[in-house]
Amino acid sequence: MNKLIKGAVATAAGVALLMGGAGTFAYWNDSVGITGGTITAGNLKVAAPATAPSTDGWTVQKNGTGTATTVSTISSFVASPGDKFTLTKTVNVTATGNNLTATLALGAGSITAATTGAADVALAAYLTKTATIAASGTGIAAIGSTGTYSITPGTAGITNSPVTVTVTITYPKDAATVTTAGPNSTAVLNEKASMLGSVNLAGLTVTVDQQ
Amino acid sequence: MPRLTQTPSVTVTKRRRSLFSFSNILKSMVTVTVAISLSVLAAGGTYAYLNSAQTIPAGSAGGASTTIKSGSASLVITSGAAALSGLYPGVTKTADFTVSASGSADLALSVSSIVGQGVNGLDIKVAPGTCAAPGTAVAAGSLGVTAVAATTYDSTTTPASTVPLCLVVSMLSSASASAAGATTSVSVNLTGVQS
Repeated sequence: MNKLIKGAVATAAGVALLMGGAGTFAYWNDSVGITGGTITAGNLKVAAPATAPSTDGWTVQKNGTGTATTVSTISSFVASPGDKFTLTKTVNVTATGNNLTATLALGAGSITAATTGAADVALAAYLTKTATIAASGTGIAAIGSTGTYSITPGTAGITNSPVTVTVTITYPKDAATVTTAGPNSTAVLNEKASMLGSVNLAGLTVTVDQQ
Repeated sequence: MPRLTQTPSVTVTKRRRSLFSFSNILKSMVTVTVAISLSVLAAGGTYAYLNSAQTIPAGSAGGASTTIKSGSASLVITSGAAALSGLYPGVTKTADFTVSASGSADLALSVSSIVGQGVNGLDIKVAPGTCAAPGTAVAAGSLGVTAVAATTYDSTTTPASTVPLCLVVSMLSSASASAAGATTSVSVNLTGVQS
């Protein structure tokens, strides 16, 4: 009996599968294509321009105030607490998508200690804490005082639109101590610990993320 | 009378484990989930949101790799030794010396302490400027002058300076007789704070 049931089930399944292969064998049927057009996905991209504008570059203000002095070679500059660095760069933003909104921000890990030395680590900690980004261009607007900017391209979208990005890094003066974490320990440092330190800016990035 | 005993019989039935048991289904689900996750991760990128990132070439010449370096702060006394002799009550003697900032930070100068102050009736102070035209002498506190470092970025407008200071040593009229012929070692501790 059990074998009979199993055999019946298997037969029924086989027939059902055969019926799915090509139409039906019992009813009238027909089909027609619906012309639905195309759906095009949007795009979100930030890229460096082919030629950097002459307005790009570094300036520094002593104690964060007064006239901004142009720094032709930042790697030759020797910083002291109170110095406020400003890097102006132009990037091209492409944002297309009728409902697309995105944010623009400074990438994580943009400032890193040049070595694992205490002075480098302390300087990186101080500079990372103060690094901010500002941006201006078509469709760009600040989101409150969060240091993040919104990109709203609208239905027209923006393509390779130049956006002026300003990264501000302040070497704090009379700052509170910072705590740095190493692989085996943590340390509480003050400004003096950052003397003769060095940080690497190779990872300085602008990120755009859909919201 | 013979005792009737009965040994309980135990029947062991070997149940065949079903192919569709819960544990098998669970194992299959985990395997499929892990396989899909690995294949998605291996492909890179994200699958939820559009995003992009661009490195900002921070180098002045457009190069990406560059650094910011911090400097240092230190004071150097360029002519510190002075031998003042022949003092007697009511007499003041002076000695010029200079201080400069050898680091990269401009330093506001102050007198933090004077060793030998009050010993053998001596009154010791430091005045900004040369001894020929000294400013207000102080025994402690700000001198009101700044040693400008040579390597600050504004060195073109405020070139490095060597700050002239004047050591002013007086023997008080009330100095005791025991001060006669005595030798006193004097040292001035200056502090420079970044300005």
